[in-house]
Amino acid sequence: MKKLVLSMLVVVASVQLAKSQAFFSLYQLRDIVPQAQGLQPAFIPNNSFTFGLPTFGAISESQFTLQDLLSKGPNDFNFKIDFDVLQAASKDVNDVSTQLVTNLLYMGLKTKRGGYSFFVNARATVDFRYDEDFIEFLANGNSNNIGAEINISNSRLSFNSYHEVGIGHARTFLDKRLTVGVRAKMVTGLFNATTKEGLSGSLYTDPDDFSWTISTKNATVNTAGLDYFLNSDDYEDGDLTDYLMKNENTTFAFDIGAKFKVTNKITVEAAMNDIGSIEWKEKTINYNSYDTTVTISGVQLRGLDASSDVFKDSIQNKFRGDETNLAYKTKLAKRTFLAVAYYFTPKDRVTLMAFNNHVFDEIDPSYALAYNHSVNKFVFGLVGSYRGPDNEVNIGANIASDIGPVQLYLAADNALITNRPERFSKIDFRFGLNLMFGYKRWKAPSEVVDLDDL
Amino acid sequence: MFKSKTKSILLLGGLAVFTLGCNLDYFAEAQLEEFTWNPTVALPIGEISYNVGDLFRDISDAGVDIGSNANDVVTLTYQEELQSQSANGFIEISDQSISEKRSAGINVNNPGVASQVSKTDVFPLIWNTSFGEEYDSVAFSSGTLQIEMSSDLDANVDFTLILRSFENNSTRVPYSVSGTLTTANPSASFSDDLVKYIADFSRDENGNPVKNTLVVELTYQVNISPTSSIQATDGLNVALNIRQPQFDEAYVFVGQRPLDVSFELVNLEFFDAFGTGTIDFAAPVFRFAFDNSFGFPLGITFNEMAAVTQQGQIINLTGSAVNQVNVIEGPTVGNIGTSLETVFELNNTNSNLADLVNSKPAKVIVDVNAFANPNEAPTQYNYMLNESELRITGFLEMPMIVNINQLAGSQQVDLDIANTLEQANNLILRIITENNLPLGGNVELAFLDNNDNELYVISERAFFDAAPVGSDGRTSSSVTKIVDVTLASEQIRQIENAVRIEVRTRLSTTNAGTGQAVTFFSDYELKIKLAAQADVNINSNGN
Repeated sequence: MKKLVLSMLVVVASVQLAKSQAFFSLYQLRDIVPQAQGLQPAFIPNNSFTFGLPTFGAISESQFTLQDLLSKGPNDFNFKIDFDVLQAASKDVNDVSTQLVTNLLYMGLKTKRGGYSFFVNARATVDFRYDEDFIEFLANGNSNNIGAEINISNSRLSFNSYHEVGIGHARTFLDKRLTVGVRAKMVTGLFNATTKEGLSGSLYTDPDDFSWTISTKNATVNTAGLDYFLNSDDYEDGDLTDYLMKNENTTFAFDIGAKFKVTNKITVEAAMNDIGSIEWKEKTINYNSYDTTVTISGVQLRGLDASSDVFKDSIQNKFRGDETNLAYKTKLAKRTFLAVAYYFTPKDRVTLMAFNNHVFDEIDPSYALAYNHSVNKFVFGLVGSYRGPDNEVNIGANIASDIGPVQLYLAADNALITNRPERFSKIDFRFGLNLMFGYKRWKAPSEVVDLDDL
Repeated sequence: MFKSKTKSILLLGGLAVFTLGCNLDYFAEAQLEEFTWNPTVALPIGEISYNVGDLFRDISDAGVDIGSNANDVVTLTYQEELQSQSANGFIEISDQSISEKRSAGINVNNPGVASQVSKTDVFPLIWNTSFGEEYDSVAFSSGTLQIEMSSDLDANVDFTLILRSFENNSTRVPYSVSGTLTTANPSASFSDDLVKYIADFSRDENGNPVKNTLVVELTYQVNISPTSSIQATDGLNVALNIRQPQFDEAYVFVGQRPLDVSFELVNLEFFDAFGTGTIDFAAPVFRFAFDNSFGFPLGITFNEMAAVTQQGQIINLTGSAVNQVNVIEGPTVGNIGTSLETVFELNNTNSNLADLVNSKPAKVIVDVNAFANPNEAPTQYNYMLNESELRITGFLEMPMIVNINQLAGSQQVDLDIANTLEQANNLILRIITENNLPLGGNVELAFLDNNDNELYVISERAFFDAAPVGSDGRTSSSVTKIVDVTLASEQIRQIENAVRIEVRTRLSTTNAGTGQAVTFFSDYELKIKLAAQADVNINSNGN
């Protein structure tokens, strides 16, 4: 019991270490749920053969809570989008990130020394990063920055949609103390919109005449596949389907992972997923605005007619750009997991984790501390996290059965979301149904004595 | 075992609390309101530059040309065609009726036998003039020449009459007629078009130089019958009639014949653009341009020149220019068909013109004595062509070397800003002026409705300051001024209904109070930039 209390205290204390989350809770289901292989290829399911039915997962997180986005005044009944509220909740750099994962098909086969898997996934990610200046401009215009510069050079957008078909293999070494896994997958890009690397933009408002000096550099948005929606009239029925099924935006990518049992109670794990890039060749449109610094000082007022059109034209004419159809390459949003697991008993595990999303090629890890407990044919656990002093506490939960042949699992990093969701800035869940066979064949006697069972 | 169950219960209980503690009250029945965006945006609107011409466009619209002189000083020039005097209006060849009785010098009374007497008589006819003109020659453009011959001889007469002074302008053959006058039909008439002939009045029958003289040669044969009774005084009568003569060319000394030249400058509305306050031009010039294609000089004196102010006050022109005879040159006979322009001017040195101009006159009356061949001009052979003309043009030139003191003006400009202001709440309109004109201005803006009712008035305030003037007469630097006009929401709502704006200005030049005149050079410019800081409110409907 002391251990349990201690464990909970550690969980609570550890939330101070966490910054952000990313399917931490699913990760804790490890060898129980085969979809966790998507996070750590070195996980080997406990059963002989697994057939995964289509599942769905989503995660979305931001710097602001839902009530910041859909705000209400003290006496308001309805809510509204208020940039002032969003601006108050923003930081120097803000990220809005959404991932959608659909496991269309999974088959796993366990061998004596490891296992094999075949999987088909459809995935989509949207990552939007914006500066505080950006939201400040939306909230207050440029009135608070007269004589100063509004800089949005840290703003980025990356939208990726693709499907992947791959095979995985995990194998144990060193008398099963070391497990190494790798998943190779053919990735087919479907839709993409990405700001060019090095995008920068700024707006300076002259304190005397309010003229705007706008500088842009690398202001290119590369897109692929979006023309099917933007100019749908240009396409025949079935064109989109053909494109989705087969196109030239293909590449190979890899997930690699390893776990090492340092002692009977301590295991260290590392995984890096989505190593690779998509070269977008088909249905690409590059919207380019040439690098420029322009000063907008209004229009010539003499003989002015149709002023709004003249204003618009005068600004548009300052910028030069074009549309091209060049191929371009985007890196997959590489993700790294590092974990240290401590087994109090064979059924009780505390894991300290670090996660980094490399979507903008930055090292900005988040952390989590999780506790999992197995009882009979179930495993369930809690994950605690906290994303900075100005943000929210997230308590996650997960549960899965390993009774076979039907496995139901559910994992969420923010299990509190249903209780006043407006307080939270993150929503995520993973759930699914697997058909699992052959548990008994691989059931090994416990190597760690559970003192609580004595 | 108990501990393990406790953990399980706690964990499952925790999970249940997390997942079942559902509270969605925040979203219950609440709806997302219409999206509104209400930032405060500071943005430039635009700029407009005014040179001196633009600033005084009102007077330009009233017929004043705004240009610059050789020194690049902005000059206001008002030009008016004052009068034109054509040749036909100046001199007319009057109808002529000239007759001459020539006696045959035969004295017979029933001679009983027939006989013949032949005679040739050359004699002059004198051309009548109205004002003492002295004709040398005339090429006619129209008119009729009539010859009437009659005889009081008691005999048949065969005759030939030659007008030596009327030569056919093609063949150079003199005009001649022949016929027979009988006792039964003693007269005969002849007629021809004058346009065929050139009349030469410059030689008498002996070839001596004369004026206004026609030479006639009359040859006749008297057929005396046995019963004829003729006295010595009997003979032939020659009558020459010229009707409605018009000329192409007339070489005639016109003497000091007067021209009727009198006119008024009445289209001086441009001074109306100057309201109250003063504008004093330091060096105005009134140029008279005489374009003369008459073949003789003219003398001009001012009988009267006066300005009549808008209040009816009359200010007379005085000074040396008033009494002097101004000679207008005419082209010599060697330059026939051309014209000569003679310009003379009234200015501050020969008149009090500045007083007339600075009174902002409603009209200027000019009464001129004009006459041909003034004594002050060298003697010149005179001629006129049908198209000869004297055209008189007046140029009132006012170089912008001025002192302007509190000069008021107003201008209405159509306005359509309802849509523009629709999304604005509070508004700060910023006017930035960069001015290197030696002219400062206060401006009041009145927003008017369709009936010219004032909806809102932005009170008068200094919008731009006059630039300082250096020792070389040019402004030494540009002056920048920023003026903010703050409009609250309710004031904007008032302005939204305005259909025009009346811009009321009050202008003063640099150091106007000291009476200093400043020079406006053509490169001076007033640049006005408009900017605004507005609370805008845009909703999801685009309103």
